[in-house]
Amino acid sequence: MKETMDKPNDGLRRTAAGRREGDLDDLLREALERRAERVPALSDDFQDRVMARIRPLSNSPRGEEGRGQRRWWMVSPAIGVAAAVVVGLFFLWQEPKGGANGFDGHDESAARVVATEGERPGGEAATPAGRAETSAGKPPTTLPLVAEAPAPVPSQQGRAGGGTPGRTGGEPAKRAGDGAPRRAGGKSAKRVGGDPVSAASVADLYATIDLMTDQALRDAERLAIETLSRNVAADTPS
Amino acid sequence: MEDLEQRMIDAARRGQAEGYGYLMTRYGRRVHLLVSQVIRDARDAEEVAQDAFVRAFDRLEAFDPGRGSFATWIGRIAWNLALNAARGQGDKGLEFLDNLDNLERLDGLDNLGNLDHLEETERLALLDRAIDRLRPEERTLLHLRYYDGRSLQEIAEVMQTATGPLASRLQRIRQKLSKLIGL
Repeated sequence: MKETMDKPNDGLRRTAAGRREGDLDDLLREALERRAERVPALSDDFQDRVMARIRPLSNSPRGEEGRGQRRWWMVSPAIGVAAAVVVGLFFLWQEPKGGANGFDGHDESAARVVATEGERPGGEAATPAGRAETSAGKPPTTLPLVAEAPAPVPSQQGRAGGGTPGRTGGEPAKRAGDGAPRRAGGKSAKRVGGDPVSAASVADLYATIDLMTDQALRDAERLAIETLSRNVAADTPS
Repeated sequence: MEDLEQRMIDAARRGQAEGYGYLMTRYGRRVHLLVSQVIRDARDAEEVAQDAFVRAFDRLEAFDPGRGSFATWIGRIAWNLALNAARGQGDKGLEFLDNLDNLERLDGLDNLGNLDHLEETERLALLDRAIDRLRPEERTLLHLRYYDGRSLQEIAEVMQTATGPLASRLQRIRQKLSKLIGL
């Protein structure tokens, strides 16, 4: 057979060479498959052992999940700090209030009204519209109130939400939602020190703290929702 | 399938165990066999395969599907680890076929006489013994080419060499093996 293929016929020789090439390929495949069959299968716990080794890695900064977890650990203290600030502010406001001044909130605009409107002989003051009505009420005694405050700081005027700057007469302030008494019994605000600028500054400070606290809480909530959404999306087979 | 694999890779990147479990199920055996071309002891080879998957997970962020398949990528990692492990183990007195012309020196080969009439099973046995004596790089080359069915380009990526020399080397091995088994 081989002699036949090796006869000096170019065409036949090429055919034979091609067949030999093919034969060698087949033999190599067969030999390598047999060799592979002799290699024992992986241990049953192969994957478990790999996973046990990569779990610690997944908590490292390189693992995506690790990053997610770290974010949660970073978020938690942020929430804690924000909550502490809120609680601290609450007690700060509550302590001097004693529940007798008729304010039921601590809105920035209401504080500014107190700081700028001063004494109201008629004992009746308007409540700023909307939010101020329900959240207004930083106790005036905690602020360096100015009975004869001439005018609010110009930059605050737009946000103050009410109050007629510099009004010293006995007329009630008129605004939207007008009529709700802000101070029971018409108790006058007393000047307890400070100046108009510092009163406004304190009000601004409280307002800023409020805004920062709100922002921190919103950021924490948004981050939590994003992380959960990603995890849910990842778990959902598409 | 590629879509599914990419999703599993993404899941593994997020640290989800099932994603990486899929990749280990799909490629664990192939990686083990690749390592076995270099590390003869099956247990040791499994350890190296394990190291390869751990290393791959650690570097998963760096895997770019646009530059090659996951199979090629983890194959390269496994190949490097296997070579390092083999260097650490030493050759353990194994005789390599540095010069394939000396294949006849293999036990029993010099008494075979006329190879023309060998049966296929005899040729296979002969081939197996010859492959056993190849250098690990040559054995890996044959394994990737004929068992895994990889292209020369993919093999070059796994073994980190150029395709030209790889093709020449493959041709040389084939000629010698062909002569050995009387084809």
